[in-house]
Amino acid sequence: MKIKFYKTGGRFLIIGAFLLNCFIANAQFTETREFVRRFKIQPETRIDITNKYGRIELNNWKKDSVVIFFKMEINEKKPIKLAKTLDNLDFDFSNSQHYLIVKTMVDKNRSQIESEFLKFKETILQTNGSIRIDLIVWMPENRELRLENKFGDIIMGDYDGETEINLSNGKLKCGDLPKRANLNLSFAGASINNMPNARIISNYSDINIRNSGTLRLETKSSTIEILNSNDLSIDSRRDKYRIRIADKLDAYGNFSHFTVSEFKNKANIRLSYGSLDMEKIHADFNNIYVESRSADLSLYFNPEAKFNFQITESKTDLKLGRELKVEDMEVLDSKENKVRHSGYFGKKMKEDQLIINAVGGETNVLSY
Amino acid sequence: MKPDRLESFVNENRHEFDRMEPSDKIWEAISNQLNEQPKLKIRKLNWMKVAVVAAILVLVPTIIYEVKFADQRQMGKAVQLDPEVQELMEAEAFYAQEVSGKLIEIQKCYKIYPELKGEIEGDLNELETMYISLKKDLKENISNKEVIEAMIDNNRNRMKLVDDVLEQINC
Repeated sequence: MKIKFYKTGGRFLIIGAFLLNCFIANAQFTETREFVRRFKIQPETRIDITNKYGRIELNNWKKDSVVIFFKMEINEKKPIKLAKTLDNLDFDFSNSQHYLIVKTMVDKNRSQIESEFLKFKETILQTNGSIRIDLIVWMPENRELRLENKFGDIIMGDYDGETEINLSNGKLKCGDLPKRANLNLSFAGASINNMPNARIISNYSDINIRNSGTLRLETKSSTIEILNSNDLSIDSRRDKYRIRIADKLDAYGNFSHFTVSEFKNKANIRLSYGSLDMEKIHADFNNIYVESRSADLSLYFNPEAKFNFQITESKTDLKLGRELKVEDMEVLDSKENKVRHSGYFGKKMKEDQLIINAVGGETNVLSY
Repeated sequence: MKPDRLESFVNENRHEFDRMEPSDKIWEAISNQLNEQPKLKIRKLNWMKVAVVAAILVLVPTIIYEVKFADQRQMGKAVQLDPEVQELMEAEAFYAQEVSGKLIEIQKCYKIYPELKGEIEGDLNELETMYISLKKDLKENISNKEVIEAMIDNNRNRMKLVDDVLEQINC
């Protein structure tokens, strides 16, 4: 009887030890810390906030001070690692008349040697730990602002001061940026309501803009959608542009695709590969100049439009709508099959408003 | 030079001098010495020296192994521990192979479109620079899940880059 009892007890002990072991192996240690910092600032103070592994949320108020609420949450499998991560985490504050600088530092105590040594330690490359550092900021709405974030989002409403935003591996959501704005996005997403004067550098990102004034874009492998644009200047590689309404458009595209739903005024476009679709060109457009190589062009004009055209093509599959009357066809280079087609659309005018120089690809000029 | 007279005399009469034989006693003594066992010299063992040699023998190969294979061992261990790291490594290998294969296809067009070389290889290098920056983030060892996702995304974009170009060029 006693032996049986010991046997059963032993089994329970083994199972218990096993379960405890499993629990310890899968246990997660969490530490949450919160604190608030207040800074008095001057009208000329530029605010500079840098964060990593978390969100920056911006709120405006009428006071002449900045308040930042910091919230950190650290999850680790080992309490030692948790303590070490906490120990290495710090915030740098620097407040002068001209600058307020706030910076998250995630490797404060880590020396170069230690960083190198980490390569050899078994703790590296384990994904069970995580950190989240969120900053909620209240500040006046008209100071010069610089925000930088990596592995986290930036959320802001309308902001009335000059803005510079550097964001990678996160999302930007903001309202109106009426003053000059500079955005540098890398592997990011951005949704902006209104930017009358801005410059955007975008690499491998998705951008959505409701209204843009004078906007300069340098983009690579990005998807860009703009609802209303006034003056666009684009330097693009392998992007996909969807512009609903464009007034002025100056674009250089390399393997990029441009779709313009409605075009109003002036265009100066140079394409190497890729495509351009202008689905509705207004009857009173000013002029369109396109230079293309191995690119597909499709331009659809208002049937009531009146303009002269000059299309020079070489080895191009050219398709002209019945509204286009070709008055002259001149062979410029028989060896290269370079031909110039001159004529008018609707009614003969004084100046050429549509000029296309195309080599290869497909060119369609039609009416909608 | 004149030969030495004494030396000449000895040389000429050598056999005359060689007439004495060693006594039996001498032979006996020699024989006794031959039968004697050589005396063993007992040296006292210096344990300190042994320990030092043993330590060197153990430590040197260990250090060499540690320095040379630590990265691989570390990777192996990490892979064993973490499926996401394994996924990253597999993705890295897969995309590197695919991209390099497609780049060879694109390189065939460099003669016709020489500007392609600078553009594509420049952009791939830029992506590599971003990747190195992500590796530094990974070394921080703080929130690796997000970093690994970004690294895989970087690889995916390299692939997309060469795919987009290959889709449009025809050499």
